[in-house]
Amino acid sequence: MLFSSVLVEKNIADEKLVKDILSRLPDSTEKIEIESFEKVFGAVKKPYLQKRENLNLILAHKKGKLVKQAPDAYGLEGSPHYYFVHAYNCIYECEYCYLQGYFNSPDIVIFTNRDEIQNQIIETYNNHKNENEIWFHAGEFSDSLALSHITQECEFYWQVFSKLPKAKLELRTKSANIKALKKLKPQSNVIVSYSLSPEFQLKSYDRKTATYKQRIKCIKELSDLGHPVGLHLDPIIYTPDFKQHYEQLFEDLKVNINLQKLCYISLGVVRFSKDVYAQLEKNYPTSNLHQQNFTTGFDQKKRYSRPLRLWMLNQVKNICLSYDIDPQKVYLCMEE
Amino acid sequence: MKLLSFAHKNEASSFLEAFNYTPLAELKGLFKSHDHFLLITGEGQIPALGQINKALSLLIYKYQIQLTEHINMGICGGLRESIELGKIYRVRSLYAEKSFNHMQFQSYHTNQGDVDLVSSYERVKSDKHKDMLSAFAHLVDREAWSLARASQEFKIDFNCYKMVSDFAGNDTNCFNIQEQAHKFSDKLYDFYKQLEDQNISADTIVKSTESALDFSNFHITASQKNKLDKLLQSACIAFSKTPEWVLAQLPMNEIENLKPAKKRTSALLFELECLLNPVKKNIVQSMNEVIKNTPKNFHVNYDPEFENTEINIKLSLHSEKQKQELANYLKDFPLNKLQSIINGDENAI
Repeated sequence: MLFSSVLVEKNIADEKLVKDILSRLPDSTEKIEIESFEKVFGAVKKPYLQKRENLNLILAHKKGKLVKQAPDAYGLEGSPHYYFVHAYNCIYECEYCYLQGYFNSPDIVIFTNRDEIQNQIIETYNNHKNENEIWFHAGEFSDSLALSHITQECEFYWQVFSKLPKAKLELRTKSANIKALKKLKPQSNVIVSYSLSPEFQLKSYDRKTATYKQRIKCIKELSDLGHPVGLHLDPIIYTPDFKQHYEQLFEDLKVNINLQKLCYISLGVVRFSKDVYAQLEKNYPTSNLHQQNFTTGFDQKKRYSRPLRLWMLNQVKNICLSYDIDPQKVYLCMEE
Repeated sequence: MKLLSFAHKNEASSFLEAFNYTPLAELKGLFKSHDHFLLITGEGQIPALGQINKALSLLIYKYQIQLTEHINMGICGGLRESIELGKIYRVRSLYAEKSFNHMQFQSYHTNQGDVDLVSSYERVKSDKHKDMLSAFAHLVDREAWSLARASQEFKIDFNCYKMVSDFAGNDTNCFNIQEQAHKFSDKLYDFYKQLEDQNISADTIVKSTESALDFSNFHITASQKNKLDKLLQSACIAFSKTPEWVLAQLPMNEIENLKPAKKRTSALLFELECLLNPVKKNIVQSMNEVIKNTPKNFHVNYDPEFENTEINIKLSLHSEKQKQELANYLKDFPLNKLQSIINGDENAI
C-alpha cells in the first residue's frame, strides 16, 4: 500500500477535490483529521527512510506564496523562471535527492488550493507581459507525474496554461505514469521533462522510479503523440568511463526519438548542500556516492572540483552537439 | 548485559517472579539478575528521564557494566483504529508531546519496528487529545521517548515493545492495569522469552574504519583525523577492500620519510584523495608543470580546491634586478593556461 494513512485538514474535508482524491485511495487507508498541516508536517523529525515502509499522505491548503522565483541557472537562459508549490516530497527514493535533507519528514503533502495556485500563476504571468516567454516549473519539491492518477493535476494545469500562450509549463519527472498525459491534447507550451542518467547509474541510485528503458519508452510515446519533451541529464556522476555511458544513452535515445525535436537538454553534475550530504551519509552509509571526491564550494555545497565538473559538463555537452542538437537548447543547470 | 525497563512494577510483575533479582541499594527500583538488570522508571517523561539517567550513570560509571541493549516494555494506549487491542508491537520511532498541541521536534528510532509511539505529557483522556496525537503515531505511552533519549546519550541500543491495553480518548480507563496487571505482565514476559529465543539483537550499522591502523608517526589534527576517516571509508567502499589494503596502495615509505610530521599528514591525505580521484592528481600535476619555471623567490599560489580562478603571486623585492625579473616573469606569465586548467581544460584532466 502506497499510503498507510491520509491526514486531512479539518476545514477542507468537504472540498470536492479532497473527496475525489480520497475516493481514489484504497479503502484500507486510515483517514485522520488534523487541524493544519503545519502543526504536523515537520513538527517532529521523521526519518527519511521510513518512506520505504509506509508514508502518510497529507491533504492541505498552503498559505502564502505559491509561485516563487527559481534560482539562477534553473532553466533556459533569457526568460524569467518560476516554480509553483503544488506538493511536498516524492514517493521515489534517489540516493542523491536533495529532499532527504530539505524537509524533516518524508510524508507527502498535496496542496489542494489549486485555484489559488492558478491565480498566482496568472498574476505572475501578467507581471511579465513584456517578456516573450515566462517559465513555470512544477516538480521542485515533488515528482510532477508520479501521483497524477490520484491528484489529476495534469488535466487542471493543462487547462490553466491553455489560456497563457506566452507561458511555458515544465513538468519534471522520473515517472512512467503518463496515462493522463496520453489522453490530453499536446500543447506547445507544456513540456514534459525527463531526468535521465546512464542505465547503470540509474540502477544504482534511483529506487522505485521508472527504469531507464521505461523512461525512454515514455519519452518516445509522448514524443510520438506530439508532446514537447525536454531532458535533464542530471546528476552526472563521475566514473572513468562516464563518457561512453552518455554516448550509449544518446544512441538509445536516437533510435527512439528525433533528437532535434527535444525542447532542451539541461546538464548538471551531482551536488549536495551540507544538510543533504549529512543525510546521505546517514541514510546510505555504503553508497558509491561516498567514493566521489567532492570539495566544498563557495556556496557550502559539496561537489566536484571546478576543473572536473566543468570538464565533465563540456564532455557531455560535446556529445549532445555531436548528435546535431542545437547548442542553444543545451544549458548547464545551477552552474555559473 | 541488558537493561529492561518498565514504567510500573505491576507491568514487570511476571519478570520479578521469574527471575531471581537482587535490588540494588543505591537506587530504588533497580534490580539485578544473573544476566540483566531491570528498572522501574515511574510514569511520565520527567520522572522516567531522571530515573533512567540515575540508573545508567550508576551501572556504567560506578559498576563499569557494559550495557549492550536497553529494552523498554510495558503497556500503552492505541491511537489509531488499525491498532489491535492486546497485541504487542515493536516500536519504530518515538516522539514526545511537550504540551497540548506542541511536539518535541527531536525523535528517536529503534533498529526495528512496525509502528510509531508518542509519549504524551499527560494521560490522554479526551478524543481531541487522541486525535491530535494520532497524526504522529499509532501508540501512546508516557515515558518511552525519555528512555530512548537517555539511551542515545549513553550510546546504548534501544528497543521498545508495547502491548496495547486500551484505546486512548474519551472512553479510556486511564490505562488502569491494576485488575489485569498479571495478565498483561505474563504476555510481556512470554514475548520477552520469545525474543530471547530468537536472539533478536540490534543490527550493527556503523562499521568503523578505525581498525588497527597505526598513525602514531603522523601529526594529525582533529579535522584531519575526521577527513582521514572519511577518505579511508570512501576508499574502502570504492574498492570493496579493507583500510589496510587501501593504505598499501599509497607510497607509504615515501610519505613516512617526509619531515616534519605535519607534512606527512598532508601528503597522506593528498595521496588518499588522489587514489579516490586520479583526476585531482592530474590537475595538480598540470598546474605545477605550468608554473615549474617560476623563479625561486616567487611563490605562485592557487586555490587548492580549484573553486577560485584567481592566481596569487607572492614575493619580496630587494633589488632593481629582482624588479626586472618580476616584470619579465609577469610579461610571459601563463595566466590563461592556469585558468584554462581550472576551467576544465581537456588536456589537464
